[in-house]
Amino acid sequence: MAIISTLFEHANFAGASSTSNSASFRYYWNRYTGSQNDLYSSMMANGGGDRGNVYAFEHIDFSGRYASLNVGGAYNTAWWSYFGDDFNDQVSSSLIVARSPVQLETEVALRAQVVPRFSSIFDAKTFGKPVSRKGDPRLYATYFPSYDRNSALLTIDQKLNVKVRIPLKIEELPVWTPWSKWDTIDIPDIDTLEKLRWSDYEATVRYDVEFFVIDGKLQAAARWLRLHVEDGLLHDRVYEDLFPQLMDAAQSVTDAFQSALALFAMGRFSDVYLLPGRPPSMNLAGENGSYDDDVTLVIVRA
Amino acid sequence: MSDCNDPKHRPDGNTDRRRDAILQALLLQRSGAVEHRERISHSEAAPASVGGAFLSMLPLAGPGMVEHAVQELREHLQNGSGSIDDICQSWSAVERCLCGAELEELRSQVFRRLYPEEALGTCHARHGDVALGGR
Repeated sequence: MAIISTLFEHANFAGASSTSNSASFRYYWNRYTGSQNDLYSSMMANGGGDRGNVYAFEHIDFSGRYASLNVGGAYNTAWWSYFGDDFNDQVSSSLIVARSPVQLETEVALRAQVVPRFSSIFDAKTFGKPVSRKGDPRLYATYFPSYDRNSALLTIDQKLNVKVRIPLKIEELPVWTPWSKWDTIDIPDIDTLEKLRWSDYEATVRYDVEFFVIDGKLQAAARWLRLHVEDGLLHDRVYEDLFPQLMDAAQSVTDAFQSALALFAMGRFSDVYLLPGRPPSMNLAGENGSYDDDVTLVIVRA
Repeated sequence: MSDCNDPKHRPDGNTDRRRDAILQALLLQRSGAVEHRERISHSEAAPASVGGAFLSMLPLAGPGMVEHAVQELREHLQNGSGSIDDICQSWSAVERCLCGAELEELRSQVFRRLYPEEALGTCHARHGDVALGGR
């Protein structure tokens, strides 16, 4: 199952090129740095009789917009002679995903399955607490991040609003100043204090979920929790309040995935992997998309 | 004796200006928030089958290594014994190091092996047009 692809500097396969071969790997990635970054204008892929998908991404971490090629379906060789003015000279990373024989694979678009369940779990866990979701979570595949270099993970990315109540007992606020280091300012009166009493903080929580096969059984587990809290005086307090609660919720996330995968309990599987975006149409030579349009789970029967 | 660094002992006009300056400093003091990250659980699964490379236009080979790789590539191409994997491996190593006539000569031979000849020759986009195709 080797898929070959080449990116070219100019339209119509001209100029400098960069060729990759998935060889025996499921995933083969390239990150383009230096003068290869934002260089490419056209792309070609050949399946040589095997199935695969090739993605050219806007950003170096396999995120942003992408142009893809599908080989081994209706077409054995596929190409973008020109990415178009909107995507010309924008490619910063690429990914080849070598597919298994079509009769062994099942594709599942995860967004429709995951978003309602996650939202419901999150709302139940935070009921009555000063933290709320801002809209629905985004879903995308995170490939080989710096903190887990050999993993392809499903990321659930949820923006939050956190209301923080500043205690009334505060009469002075400690501040750091360039001229006298630690200093204090007085809070002048009760009206000012009332204005300062509640503060909204924006935060983003990300759960990275891994799908894997053990002894032929399909499984999933939340592997990483990432929390970003916006800057501000109470950043540390928001983080300290929020992080343990989100860590507790991780087990519920794992349980929800395991419960959903019970649908596959009767089968035996050899592999599971992730495709960025919506399930590719193998009847098309290629597609445009964005990494957070969806995530496609591909399950391979043993 | 009063301490002039103690804000409680400063005249009122100075206190206001100082408070403004301090409030400004307060807004700036937490710049650069970072993402907090923690592993929830360790993987018991076999690692994914992954290969990859960071690529830049800078040649990564030392003196003589490019010539050796080009020679190897020519052998794979000329005697026809080289597999697609062999050709692809040799070509990937040298394609960013070549230029001029040598690049054009080898590239046309390599791409004839990697891609159907008609694909490279007949699927050109007009200037500015997005062009997607397959065969």
